Amino acid sequence: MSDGTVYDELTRQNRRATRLLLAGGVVIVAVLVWVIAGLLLGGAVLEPELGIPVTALGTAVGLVLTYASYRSGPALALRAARARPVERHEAPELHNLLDEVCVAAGLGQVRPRLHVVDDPAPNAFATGLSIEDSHVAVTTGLVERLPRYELRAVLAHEVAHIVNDDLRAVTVAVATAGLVALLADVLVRAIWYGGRFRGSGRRSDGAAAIQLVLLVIGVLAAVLLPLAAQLIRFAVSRQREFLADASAAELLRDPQSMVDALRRLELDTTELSRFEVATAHLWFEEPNALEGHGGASRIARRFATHPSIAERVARLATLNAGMVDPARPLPPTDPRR
Amino acid sequence: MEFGIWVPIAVVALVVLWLITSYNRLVRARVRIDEAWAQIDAQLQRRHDLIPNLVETVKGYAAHERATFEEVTAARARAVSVSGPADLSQAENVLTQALGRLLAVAEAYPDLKADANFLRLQEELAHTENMVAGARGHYNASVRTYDESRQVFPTSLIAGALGFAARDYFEVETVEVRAAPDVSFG
Repeated sequence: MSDGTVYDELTRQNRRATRLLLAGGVVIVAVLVWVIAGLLLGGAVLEPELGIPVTALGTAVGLVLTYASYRSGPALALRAARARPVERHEAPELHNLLDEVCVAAGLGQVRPRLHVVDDPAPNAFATGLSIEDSHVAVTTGLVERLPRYELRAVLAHEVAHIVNDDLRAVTVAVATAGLVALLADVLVRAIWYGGRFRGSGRRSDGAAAIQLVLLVIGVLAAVLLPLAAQLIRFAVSRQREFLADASAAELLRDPQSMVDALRRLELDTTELSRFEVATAHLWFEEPNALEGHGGASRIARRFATHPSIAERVARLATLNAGMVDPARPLPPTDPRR
Repeated sequence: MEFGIWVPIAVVALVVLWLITSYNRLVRARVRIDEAWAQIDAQLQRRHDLIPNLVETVKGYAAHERATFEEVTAARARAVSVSGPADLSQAENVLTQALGRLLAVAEAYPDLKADANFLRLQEELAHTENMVAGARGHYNASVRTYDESRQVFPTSLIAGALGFAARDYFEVETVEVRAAPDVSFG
């Protein structure tokens, strides 16, 4: 493990992706605010004395709103998935597995809270804003279908998200994407009403030309920027999945279980019965079906929150060369069930 | 004139700043090692607590395997009495081997293997061994981080003078216990 170069590279990519996300999100929000202000106030926003403070103020208000939704994110995610807390006496072995992962991660006294989602599809997610206030949820399907050590590998992946500070970054990404969607909606209304107000107003030809340009920018922005925000959000989320896989394998010194868990989940085709598109990024495995080949599925992958399982297995195999056999027959689950 | 005074002051300030940050980093790394060691201690304690129970249960079905029981009990007594990474890892490894033999003995008794109490102890032991292995991994990772910051230049110049001594890694074997392969809701 002393040769951590690939792992370090992943961590670096992760940090770069987070900076890109934050900078990109703020720029997108600022552009949207400026265009909306332009449509409502007219060409005056081209003057820096008015344009800069108005845009800055609007962006600041937006970011405060984003912060508020970021704060309430984990509670909402748990509710959306219908996760219920599970106590030690209800599932002692599951708690044992989480303990093993937390001790290896050096979490000691602070431990994420364990939740269960009643759903036959095998999947899991982590949420929270800090290690002290973090949650790991697994579906009943996951507990039933995975052997002990593969289940532990999935828990390790979720704990790795917590330790790698992914929860915060991804929650920011989602909150920002939500704000951009909201602003795009406001923009569409501004184009609509802005056009009506000015219909009766007096104006020069120059002002009309500026309005027209703003209108075109506005329509383009309303269509393209939410798309851009979503792409950034998904890219961030995918990058972090690789790192969480790698950290989990290193944490337990058991990369084979991680690979086996991924392969077993790939073979399983049960879909989650209820999940919100808004929380898709949280899960261990992509909850949306992304089957198929060709151009359509390549585009679908751009909007995927997770890399494909084949790609995740391949990266783990490269990272742990010699310790992992990605073609080994999967260990049997307990024949008693 | 002014400039000539400020240059040495700035240099001294930078050196002091560097000393403070290096010192704090080393202290933090050392505290992490101590915490990780406490965790290992707790997990080994748990291992030691489990053994009398395990021996009693096996005894119920295989009373004449006295040599094995005595070996486990003696190894446990020694492991409980020593401390410090080097001695402890040696004592724990002897205990690990004795435990392995005890479990091998258990294999020969089908009634014992079906005993509910034994099955519960087996899961407990598998969990404990994994906890020991996890705590060991985290401890050794903490020692490695500490060692790296101690030996890296220029911190290496001051680490020894400030009393940051080398720490031992903790190498201990754990028993491969066949845990219940699956987890269920109790």
